[in-house]
Amino acid sequence: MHNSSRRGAAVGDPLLVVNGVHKQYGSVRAVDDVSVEVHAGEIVALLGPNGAGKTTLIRMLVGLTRPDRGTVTYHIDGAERPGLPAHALGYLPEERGLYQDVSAARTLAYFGRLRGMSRPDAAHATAEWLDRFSLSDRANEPLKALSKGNQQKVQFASTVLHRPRFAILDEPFSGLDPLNQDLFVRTIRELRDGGTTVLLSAHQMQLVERLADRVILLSRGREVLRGTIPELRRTWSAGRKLVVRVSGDADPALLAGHPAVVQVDRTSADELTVLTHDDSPLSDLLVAIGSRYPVTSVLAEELTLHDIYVRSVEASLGNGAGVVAAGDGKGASR
Amino acid sequence: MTAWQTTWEVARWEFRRFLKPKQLVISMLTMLVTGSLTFGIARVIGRSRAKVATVAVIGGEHVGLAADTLAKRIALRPRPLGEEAALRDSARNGDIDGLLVVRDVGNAELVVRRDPAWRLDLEQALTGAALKQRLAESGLEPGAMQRLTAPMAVEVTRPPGAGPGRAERVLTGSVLTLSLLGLMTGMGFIFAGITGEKQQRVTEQVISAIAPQQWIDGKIIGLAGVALANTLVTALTFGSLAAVFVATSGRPFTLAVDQPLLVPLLVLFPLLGFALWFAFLSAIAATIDDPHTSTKGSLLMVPLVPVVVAGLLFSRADSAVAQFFGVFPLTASTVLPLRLLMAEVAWWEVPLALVLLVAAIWIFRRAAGKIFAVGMLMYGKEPSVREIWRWAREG
Repeated sequence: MHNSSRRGAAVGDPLLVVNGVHKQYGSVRAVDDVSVEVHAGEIVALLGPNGAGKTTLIRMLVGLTRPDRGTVTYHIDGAERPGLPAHALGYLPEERGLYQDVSAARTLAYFGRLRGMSRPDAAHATAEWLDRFSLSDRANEPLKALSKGNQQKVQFASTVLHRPRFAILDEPFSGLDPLNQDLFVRTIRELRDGGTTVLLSAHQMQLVERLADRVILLSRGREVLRGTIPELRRTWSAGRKLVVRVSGDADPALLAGHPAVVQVDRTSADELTVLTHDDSPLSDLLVAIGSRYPVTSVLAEELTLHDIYVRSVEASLGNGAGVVAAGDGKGASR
Repeated sequence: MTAWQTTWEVARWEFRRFLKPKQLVISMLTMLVTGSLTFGIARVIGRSRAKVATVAVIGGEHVGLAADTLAKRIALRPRPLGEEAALRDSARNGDIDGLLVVRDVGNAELVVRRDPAWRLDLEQALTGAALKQRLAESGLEPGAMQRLTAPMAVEVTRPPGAGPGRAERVLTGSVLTLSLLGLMTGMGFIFAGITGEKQQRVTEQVISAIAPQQWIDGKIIGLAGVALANTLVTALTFGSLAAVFVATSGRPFTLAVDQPLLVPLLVLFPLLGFALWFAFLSAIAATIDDPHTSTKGSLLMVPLVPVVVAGLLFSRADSAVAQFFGVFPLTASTVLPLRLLMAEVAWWEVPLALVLLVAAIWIFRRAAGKIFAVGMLMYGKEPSVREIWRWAREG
């Protein structure tokens, strides 16, 4: 998969094992019997709609809250422990902010010290990260003088400047422009390649698709999907995705009742996106489309993570489907 | 890093974050200028009070009113009866400060433009003179009359350790004022710092790195340091002004307290009080979600209670109640310094107060750490007092 992990943790070995954790707030089951494994050297994306329980699960992994039931175990240096020492963990919370009246340089050095770095190491890492994010010339300005994007860079750097073994990044891309999103994607990959295992929670599916080695999807506090993205595509696509462009009005109702069609959406005035059953003959469908619309082009696309996410979440909300592990032969019902 | 190193790192951060040397220097200079101005204005006012009013007196011989009776405040100028009309005009016009017309030993008229500040002094002098005149007219021998009117001589002797004098009172007032100042300063920093951290959403990232107890300990140490620095600057500024005042006043300013550790104890106890109440304040501030709408603001006034208690005991420093509050840990930080300066302190009071106060600080910081751990991660809702109490007990 990647280079060997540093500091003794073998790539592929479990770093984090979450076993049947529950967390309830009042009558709300925020996390309901979730079991997760994260292996050293991988980037795992923890996905789910708002309120799915991602942040609650993450808070339990960090030790900010305790599970009502179940266990969180880290395997580090040949020992099992319920939490990671400060120097081994990097945490970018969803609820985040910085000391607005303090400079970026002082902020980073402080967080480096809190994570166990020596003063010289923290100063060195601070300079390195400010340089990496092109903030060296603004190092001594108070953070309130920086743009939101630059503050986000400082926040990100404060999470990982000590090169943790395990970084939990909750919504790292929120509020970033596309250029900075790309910068963060590259940086997270570099971290992984340098031996940091990453658990990532994000809503930007196209970025997750570029980054994640594996995906875990939560909905209503339960795990509903897990696997690598190719595995998810194979398991979840259950057919093809056709993008049909027509000259004139693309009325989806004309295809709605066709037996080969799972779902049809008008994506623009003259464009339809058609999801088909895997086992239906494509030729029949193309004939049907040609007979109903003045077709100008047909494009077959791979199902995106966004499509898989939407379908999985809708399925879970519709009938409370259990976990779909990619490659286990189970399909999600619709 | 060890727990202590982490605590020290937080203390250093908080100290550097809140201590603004430039602002402190500006504040010190402002205080010096303001103090000097006030001192100067007081001197000017003092001199203006020393202005002697000129009062013409007609018929002063009826009561034997001597011209130098009120020499420091009023220059009495005996005038003949024939000038009365002209002098009345002068008094009405303000050419002289007043005209006193003594008709007989029981009646006099004072003609002035407006009611003067020295009127009571004049009336007392007239009454005294009239009394002497009446006694003289009653046929008393001069010796007997002198004995009857002679003031009682009271000699003040004050051996060392006999009780508080002016110096002790001034120093006690200064210690209490500085304690109050330190508490108020620290209170402001803690309130602004902790509620600000909550509002700026800094807390989760910090608490994922260090234990809440280390965080609150660091805050208490760092902010107590800032409060101490501010208080010291104020003490030095006003102390230097007071020294100038004492040196120029010519009045003695000597302490008669037989306690070899007086100065260290006067610093130590207020400092321990800072630690105790800053732990309390940190816990309360951690439970406040929005300082603009919080109902817990009134709890922030609780740390001022020991200063108020000491103020109430100022003139009863040697009472049994003062002795109790001097060792009671919630009030010892202010009442024991009061007693050290103003009363006889038994040998056991200082060590007992110290042990109890340190024990109370330990309990407060542990409870505050538990409240802080939960409160700092709670957004959008403020816990009830019952919930806070449960956190403090259970953690």
